Amino acid sequence: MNETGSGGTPPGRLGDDENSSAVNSPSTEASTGPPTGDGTRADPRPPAVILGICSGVIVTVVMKHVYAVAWLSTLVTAAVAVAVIVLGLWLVPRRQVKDALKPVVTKVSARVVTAVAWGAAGAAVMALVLLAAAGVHGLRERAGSCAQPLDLRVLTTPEALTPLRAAAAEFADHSEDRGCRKYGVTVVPEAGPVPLYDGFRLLWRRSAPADERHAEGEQLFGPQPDIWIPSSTAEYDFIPKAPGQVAPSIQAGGRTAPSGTGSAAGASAPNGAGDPKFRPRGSLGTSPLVLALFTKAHESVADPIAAPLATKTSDLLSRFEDVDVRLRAIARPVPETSSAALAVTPALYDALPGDDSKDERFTGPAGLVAPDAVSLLCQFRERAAAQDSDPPDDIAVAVPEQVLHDYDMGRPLGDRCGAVDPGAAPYAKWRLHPYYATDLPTLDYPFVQVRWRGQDTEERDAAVTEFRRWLDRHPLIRQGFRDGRGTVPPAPEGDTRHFYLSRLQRTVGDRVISPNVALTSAKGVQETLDRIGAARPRISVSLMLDVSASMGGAAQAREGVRLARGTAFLRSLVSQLQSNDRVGLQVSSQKAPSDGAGTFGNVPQDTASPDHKNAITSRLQAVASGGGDQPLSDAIAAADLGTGRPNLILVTDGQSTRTNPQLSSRVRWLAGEFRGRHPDLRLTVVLTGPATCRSAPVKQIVAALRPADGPGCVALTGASEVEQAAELLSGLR
Amino acid sequence: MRFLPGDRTAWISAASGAVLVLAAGLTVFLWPDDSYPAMKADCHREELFVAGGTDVSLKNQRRALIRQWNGGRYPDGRPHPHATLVEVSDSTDLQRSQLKAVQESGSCAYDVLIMDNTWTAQFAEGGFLRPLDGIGDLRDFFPAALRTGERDGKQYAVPFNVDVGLLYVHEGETPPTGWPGLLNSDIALQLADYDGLTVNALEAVWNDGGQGLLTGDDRPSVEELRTRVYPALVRLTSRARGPLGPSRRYEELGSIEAFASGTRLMRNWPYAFSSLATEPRMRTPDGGRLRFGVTALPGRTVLGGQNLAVSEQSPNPDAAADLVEFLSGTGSQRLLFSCGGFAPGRYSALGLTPERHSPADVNVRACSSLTGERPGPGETELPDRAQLTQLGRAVVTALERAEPRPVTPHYGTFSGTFRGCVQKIFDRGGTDPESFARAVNRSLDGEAASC
Repeated sequence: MNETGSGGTPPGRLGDDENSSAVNSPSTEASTGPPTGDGTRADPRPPAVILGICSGVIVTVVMKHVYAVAWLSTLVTAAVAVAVIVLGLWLVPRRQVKDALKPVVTKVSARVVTAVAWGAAGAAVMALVLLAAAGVHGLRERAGSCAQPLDLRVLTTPEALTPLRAAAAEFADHSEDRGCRKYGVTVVPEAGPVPLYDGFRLLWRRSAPADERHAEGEQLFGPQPDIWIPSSTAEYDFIPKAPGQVAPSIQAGGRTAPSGTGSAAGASAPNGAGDPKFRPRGSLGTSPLVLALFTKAHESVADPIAAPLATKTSDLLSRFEDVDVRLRAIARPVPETSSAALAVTPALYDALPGDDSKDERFTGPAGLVAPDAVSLLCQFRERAAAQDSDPPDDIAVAVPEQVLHDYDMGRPLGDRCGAVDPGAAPYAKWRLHPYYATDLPTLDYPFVQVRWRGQDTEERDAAVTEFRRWLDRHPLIRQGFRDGRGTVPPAPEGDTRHFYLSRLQRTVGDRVISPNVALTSAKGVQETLDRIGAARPRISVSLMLDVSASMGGAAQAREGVRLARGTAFLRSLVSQLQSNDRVGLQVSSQKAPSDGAGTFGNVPQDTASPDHKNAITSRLQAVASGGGDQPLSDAIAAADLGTGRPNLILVTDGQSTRTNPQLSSRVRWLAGEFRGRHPDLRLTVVLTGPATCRSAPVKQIVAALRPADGPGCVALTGASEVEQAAELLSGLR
Repeated sequence: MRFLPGDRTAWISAASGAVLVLAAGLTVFLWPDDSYPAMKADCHREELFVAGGTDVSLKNQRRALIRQWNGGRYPDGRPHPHATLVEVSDSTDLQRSQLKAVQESGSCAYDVLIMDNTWTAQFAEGGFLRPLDGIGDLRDFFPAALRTGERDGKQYAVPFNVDVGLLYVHEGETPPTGWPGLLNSDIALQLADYDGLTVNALEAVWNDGGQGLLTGDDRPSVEELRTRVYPALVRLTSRARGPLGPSRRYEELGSIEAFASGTRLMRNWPYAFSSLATEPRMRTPDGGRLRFGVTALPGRTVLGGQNLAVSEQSPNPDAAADLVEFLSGTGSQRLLFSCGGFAPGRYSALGLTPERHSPADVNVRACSSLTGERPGPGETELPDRAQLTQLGRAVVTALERAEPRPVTPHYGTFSGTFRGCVQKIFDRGGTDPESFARAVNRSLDGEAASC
C-alpha cells in the first residue's frame, strides 16, 4: 500500500488528537453552555432545542420525500453504505486499516484498493448529486399546484351509500398532504343483484348489442367499479365467475384465504376474456336484518324484561299478536333489486303461517313498493315531512339495522332523501324500533376489489389497498354497523362526528337494541329467487313502445327525451321479471308498425330467460324514434297478447286527437268487439308526457278498456324508473 | 486538495463509480417497473369508441350522427371505421369519474371523449388528450368556445355544443334591461347545491363589480377575491333570502317546472327551449304558438358546453380525429341544433360566417327540411324555423357576452369550495371575506379548503 499517496493518512487527520478534540469540543460546549462575560454560563437549552427542532424538521422532510418515492429509499441506503465505507477509510488510521486488512490485502495490490476506494467515493458523490436533484425536483413539484388525485370508483348497495360516502370522504381527507388530496372516491349505488348479474357478465354494459346494424350505441351501468361492496357474501357469490376470475381472497388482517366461486348460478366463464377479476378482501362489518315497528305499536309490544334477541321470527310475530298488534303486512323492498330483501325473504316465508304464495302477498303491500330499503324508509320520511298522515302501526318493516339507524338518526337516505333533524316532532313520531331474531340473516358487506382489463395499474391497485387498510383502521362501526362478531361496539367518549350504533339506544329506548346477534348467513340468491318466483303468480306481459317521431321530444319531469324515459322504464320492468314469467316487445309508429314482420324492435313473447330478457333490452337500447303516430287503438289491436292472462303495457307520449282520427268509433270498437275477444286483458298506458291521463285520446282509450283491478293509466314521475316499474309490476301480480 | 483524486487511476475510478451510480439511477428512474401483473387490454382494433354521457339530445341526435358516420365513406370510397357511442351516465360527475379513471389508467378503451368544457385543462394536464392538429377551418368555431379546448397554446378539443345562459320570458312580460332589475324580478335561477350554483353565482359576480374575475386563465388576487367577489355575493344574499328563495331548491329541471307553472322569468341553457316548446302549458290551445320567448341575459353569462377530444391512448388517432371533425362539422352541428336542441359550436351552423355574425343574420332550417322527414298527418313540427331563429339569435347575442369559468386542472375542487362558501354566505354562516378569499384561492390550486 502506498503510504505517501493520496490514499495515505493526511497529516493531522484521522486519529489526530488535536483534531479529535476539535471535533469533540463543540458538543462538549453545547452540553455545558458557553461561558458568559460575567463568568456565569448561559442556559444551554435554547440553541440545543432549536438545533434539535431544526434537525428534526429536516430529517422529517427528507424522509417524507424518500418514502414518497419507492426507489429513493434504495438509493439512500446504497449512498449511506458507500459513504460509511469511504468515511471509514478516511477516519480510521491507515496503519490500523493496514493491520486489520493485512491478511486480505497482502494478496491484493495497493493500486486495486485505491481504485476501489475512489470508485466508491465517486459513486457516493454521484448518489448525493442524484439525491439533491430528486429533492429539488420534489420541492419544485410541491411548490406548484396539487397533482391530480387518483379517482377510485366504489359501487355499493344503496343501503350502504350514506355510511360509505361518509367513510370515503374521510379517507379522501385523510389522504391529504399539505392541502393536496392523493385520492378522490366516487361512491355509487348498485342496481340490485339481478341487473348486476348481467352487468358483470357484459363488461358493465346494460345489454349486448342487438345486431351489427344497430350497434352504434351502448349504455353502461355508470362508472366501472374498482371496489364493489355488496351487502352480503351471498350476493357476491351470485355473480357468475370463472375460476380464473377470482384472485385469492385477502382477509382483513392481510392473510390470504382460499377462494371459491361458489356461484349458485353456475361458474361458467361469463365471457371469453374472463373479465373482470374479483378479489374479496374481507368483511367491513355486519348488520342484521330486523323487523321494525312504529312507535305506537312498539309501545304496545315493548317489554323491559323480554330479551331483545328472539330465537325465531315466528316467536316475534306471536309476541306482536299477543299484545294485539295485528300486522296487515311486512313491508320489504323488491327482492330483484334489493339483496337485503332477498336475504330476509326466506326467513319471513318460514316464519309466517300459510304457504309461500300467501306470505309473498303479505310481504309486498300495495303502496309500499320500493326498489331498496333506503327508498322504502325514504317514503316514510317524506310522509313524516308532509305531516298529513299517521304512521301505519299495522305494518312492520324488514330492513337492515344500519338503514334503520340512518333513518332514526336523521341521516341522508340514498340520493333522494336528505338529512333531517331526528328530534323534530314529525320525524320523532315516525320513528322505527328494531326487533331481532336469531333466524333473521346478518349481512356481512364484503370488500371486493374489481380489476378491469386495460384499467388495471399498480397505482390503482395500491389505492384500493390503501382504502382497504384505512377501513381496517377506521371501521364502519363508526357509521352504524356492528363489528365482525355481530356486537355493538361502544361509542368513544367525545367522538360526536361519527354515528355509532350504540347511540341509537338513546333514541329508541333501553333494551331495544340487541348487544349481540347471531351471524346467520343469507341463503343463496338464486335459491331465493326461485322460491320467490314459485310463490308469485306467473304473469304474461306484452310491452308496446311508441317510437313515433314525437317520442324524440323532451320528456317531462326528467332531462332527456321521451323515448329514453320509456325505454329506461321498460328495461327496469324487464329486469324485474322472473324466469317463469312471459314477456314480449313490440314497437309502434307509422314507420315501424307493431304488426310489421320486419320491424326492428319486435321480440315475440317467450319465457323471461336471461337471454330473452337481453334480446328485449338490447332492442330497447337500439330503437330510434321516427315516423308518424300509429293511432293508439291500432297499436292495441295489433298487440301480440300471448298466452295466459294478458297484460298490455303501452308506453307513449299520449299522441293527440289529430293523429287518432275517428276516435269515437275506434273507442266503441275497443270496448265492444275487442274487449269481447280479450275479456281478461289488462291495459296499462304509461305516459312519458307531455300528455296526462286526462288528455285525449288516452283518457277515452283507457276508459274503453279499463280493467277492474288496475290503474289503466300511469304517468312517469321524477322517481326512479326502477321504483315505478316495481310499483306497476306489484300491481299486476 | 487532499479530497481530490491524486492520480489518473484514482480519477478514472472515481469517474467510473459515479457513472455506474448514474446509470443505475437512470435505469431505475426510466425503466418501467413491470413487476405488477397488470391485466393489459388488446388495443389492436379498428372500431372507434366515443365516450360521453347519456344522449339527452332530442330525437337521440347524437346517436343518429354516429349512425350517419357509420354509413358514410371517405372521399376515396373507403367506408368509415365503425363507431360506437358509449353512454356512461346521465350525471356529469359520474361521466367524469369514469373517463378520468379510464384515461389515468392509460387505457385504450376510448378513442373520442365528449367532455364538459371545464375538464379540458385537467385532461390535457394529465396527458389524457392528443392535440388536434388536422381539424379544418377552426375560424368557423365561435372563438370563445374554441378557446375552452386550448391548453398551453395547443388545441386539444373542439366544441361539440355550446351552452350560454339565456333569459326565458312569459308572453306579455317585458324583460328587464339590467342585471339588478333581473334579480328583483319574479325569476327562477339555479341556486341548489350543484355546479349550477357556481354558474349562477359567477354570473352575479361578473355583473355586479367582479367583471373579469374568476374567468379563464387569469388568477384573481386574494385582495380581489376579498374586495370585489365577496361583496358581490353578499349583495346577492339579500335576494337569495328574499325573492330568489325558491331558486335555492332549483336545478335546471326544477326551474323549468317553476317557469312552466307561472314564474315570469327564467335563466337557463338553450336546451330548455325545446323542453318548454313541447310543454302543453307553454303553447296556445291550437298548439301552434309558443307562450314564451327567449332572449340573451342582460349582462355577462357563463360559457358552458361540451367539447370533443381524441384520447392520447387511442389506437386509431387519425380515424378518431376524422370522427371529431365529422361530429363538429357544419352538417352535424346543424342537425344537433335544429333536431337535437343543442346550440352549435360553429358560425356556419347558424348560417353565419366569422365576418358576418350579427344576431340578425341568423339563418337556420327546421329539422324536417334537413332530414327530409316531414311530420306525420296532424302533427306539428316543434320547434319550427321561426322558433329556431329566435333561439339562434339569442344564443349569438349571449355568446358575445359569454365568458368561461376559471380554467384550472382543479375546476372540480374550485367549484365545490366556491359553492360551499356561497351557501355559507347565503346562510350567513359566519364566513368572512378573508376566509372566503383564502379558501377560493387555495381551491384554484386543487388544495382542499372550505370557508
